[in-house]
Amino acid sequence: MDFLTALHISTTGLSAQRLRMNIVSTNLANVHTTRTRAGGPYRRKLVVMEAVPTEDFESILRLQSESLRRVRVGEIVEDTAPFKQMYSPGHPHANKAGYVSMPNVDVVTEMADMLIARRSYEANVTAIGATKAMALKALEIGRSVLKVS
Amino acid sequence: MPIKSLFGKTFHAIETSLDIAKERHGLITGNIANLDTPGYSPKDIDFRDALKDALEGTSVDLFRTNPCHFGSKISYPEPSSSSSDSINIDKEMSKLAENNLRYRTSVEVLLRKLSGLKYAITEGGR
Repeated sequence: MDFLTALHISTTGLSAQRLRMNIVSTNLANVHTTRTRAGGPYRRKLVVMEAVPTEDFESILRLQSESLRRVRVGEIVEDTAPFKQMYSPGHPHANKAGYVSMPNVDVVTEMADMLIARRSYEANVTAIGATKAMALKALEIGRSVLKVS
Repeated sequence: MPIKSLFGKTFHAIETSLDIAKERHGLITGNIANLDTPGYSPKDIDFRDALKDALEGTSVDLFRTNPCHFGSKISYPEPSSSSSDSINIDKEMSKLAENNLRYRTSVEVLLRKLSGLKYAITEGGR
């Protein structure tokens, strides 16, 4: 493990959270979409994250670094919850009884999800800051001795 | 006077503690990156145990069978992960800060040691 590995791990965390944020935005933007290309209303999307071993040279060479784990978004799945039914007889997508199937997106849930993604992103930024501080501190070793007085 | 006594045990101890702190940092950043991974159990090594093992030489080191092979300086105890323990953001952040401080302290001690040596070499800064 070196500091670049730590940076790399944190970066994977950042991009995973950013992707999650994008998915939340997509859900929020489509909160009233009743027709999609596949037909039917929009289905809420979810990200599934998974931990994968880092693949740098050193961890392959030395087996003890095996426990270092980066993160990646394994797949983006669709929420299977039923659609909400809204009574609106004048709507072009209403069924015979006058109900329109609305997307299974709950705005409050999406907002909470967005906050969690944001906090996790910030946690990774803090980790990157700590890595940088450590690496810079290590550069100070020997500086006072090497200085020609 | 052999040069070994110039860089005595202190150097080795600080070096080892820097190595362990660095290794631990990698584990903690991995935990933070996996905050939202379902089923992930956080990993960590015990700093005190790792340092004790490394300094007393009780840890099982890799055996070099061929001089062309890469050597391994120290081996760390197997990172423990308790599956019952779910990941906890404040615990991980405080561990990150603690480990960072530990690393910086070790570097600072090393700096003091070096400047002490330099002071002696230059005959008291003369």
